[in-house]
Amino acid sequence: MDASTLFLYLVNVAYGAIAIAFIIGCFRWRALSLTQRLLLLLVFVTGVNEGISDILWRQGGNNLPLIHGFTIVEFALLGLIYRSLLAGLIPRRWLTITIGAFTSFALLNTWLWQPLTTFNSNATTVASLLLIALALAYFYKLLRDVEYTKLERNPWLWFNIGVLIYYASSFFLFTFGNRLLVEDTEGASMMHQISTVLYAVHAFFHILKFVLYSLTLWIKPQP
Amino acid sequence: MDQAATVNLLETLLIGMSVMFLMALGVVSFFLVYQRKLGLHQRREQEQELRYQRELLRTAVAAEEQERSRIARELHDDVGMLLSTAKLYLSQLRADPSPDERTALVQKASALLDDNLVAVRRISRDLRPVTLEKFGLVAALEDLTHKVNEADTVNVVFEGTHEALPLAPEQALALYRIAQELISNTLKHAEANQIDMELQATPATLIFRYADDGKGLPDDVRAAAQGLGLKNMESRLATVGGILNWDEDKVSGMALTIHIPRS
Repeated sequence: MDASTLFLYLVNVAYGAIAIAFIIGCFRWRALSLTQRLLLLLVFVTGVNEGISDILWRQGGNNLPLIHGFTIVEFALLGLIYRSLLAGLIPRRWLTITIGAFTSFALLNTWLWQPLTTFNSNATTVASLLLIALALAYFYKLLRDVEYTKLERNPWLWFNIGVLIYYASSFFLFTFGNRLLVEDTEGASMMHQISTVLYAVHAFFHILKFVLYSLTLWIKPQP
Repeated sequence: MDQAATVNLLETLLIGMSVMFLMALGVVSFFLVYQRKLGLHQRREQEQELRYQRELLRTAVAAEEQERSRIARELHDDVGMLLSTAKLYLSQLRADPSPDERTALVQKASALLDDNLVAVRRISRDLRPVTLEKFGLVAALEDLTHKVNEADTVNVVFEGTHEALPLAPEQALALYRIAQELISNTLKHAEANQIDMELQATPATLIFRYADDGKGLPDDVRAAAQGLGLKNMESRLATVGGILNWDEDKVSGMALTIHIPRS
């Protein structure tokens, strides 16, 4: 199996993982907490984004403008989820401000430095860093609240593991993302192969993240 | 971009992604292992606390049974015996004795009934100290001090501030019983010459200090609160939300402080 086939295979599995998470969320809609519903909304938005991106890609169009918008929406939803999860550790106001500041930065980035036709590596890098910090903060909060609970029954533990592993592992890919989108140069062919391999790895982490999101939507939060 | 630069970028990205992935995995693993250890530790503590509570309960039940046995014994040996003898004297009146014999029998029976009354009062006082009920904890402890000093085996000094605020009856009784238990332990085991007791009352807390100059308690006995007496004290304290602290710095003898929140 060559890199391109593997990549396409993984992308299809990733779509499947998103669909499964969405179906689980819809199936358990009544039992979901408000924060879990926010996660379900994120799963839905991701699915729509991936679907439109795929259509644009198949038609030979540039799907990068979509990523600019998705980065903002995704961070806002994840920020709102963490605002709820980190209550008692980080004041809610601070996370609201962080979401607002990031949105402003992402818009400014699109306007001034990385236009819609390029990959918004600045915004995705900053988003990754912030989300890694929030995931670490949530682990800290779980350790600080010494009261023993069966961790596997805490849906947000799985969500947090998913966020930390995905954004930490993809951090370098987001940072150097633009350098992979090179055409008509001496190393273009090789670069294409490399980027295929790297995006296959990225797809694997994407799948892992959505499997963990599915668990988060599946498990009933403890009172 | 030439091939060398491309390979360089590939290396950077692969190493970077691998390192970040491993770091994230490390954080998750550390968290899971640490949380599990924390959970085990907490569970162990909970089990220990449960065992301790069960032990306290067992002690309380044993102490109650012991007290019942003592009362039963006193009623049987003391009151029962006196009443039986008095009945015997009175039954002799049926035989139509001479006036002198009659007077003697009535006097004997009357004396026995007087003794009986004293015995009943003593048992009643042991069950619920009258001084404590009528005059409060300080007076009851002063009375206790006086009685122990009368035996002339050990010198007891008690300093107590009069309660400015009312004290719940069960708290006063618990502290009185603990003082009795402590003095009893000192007399039985400590070979002490001096006992110092002090009672202070703040608006929020009742503080009772006890010290003797005897042999002291071995650390292991104290730590495990071995013996029915010590466990009984802890059991009584637990019922009124009190805390017992042993004075670790005391060179000779034994000293402790009890704090009971005033309710």
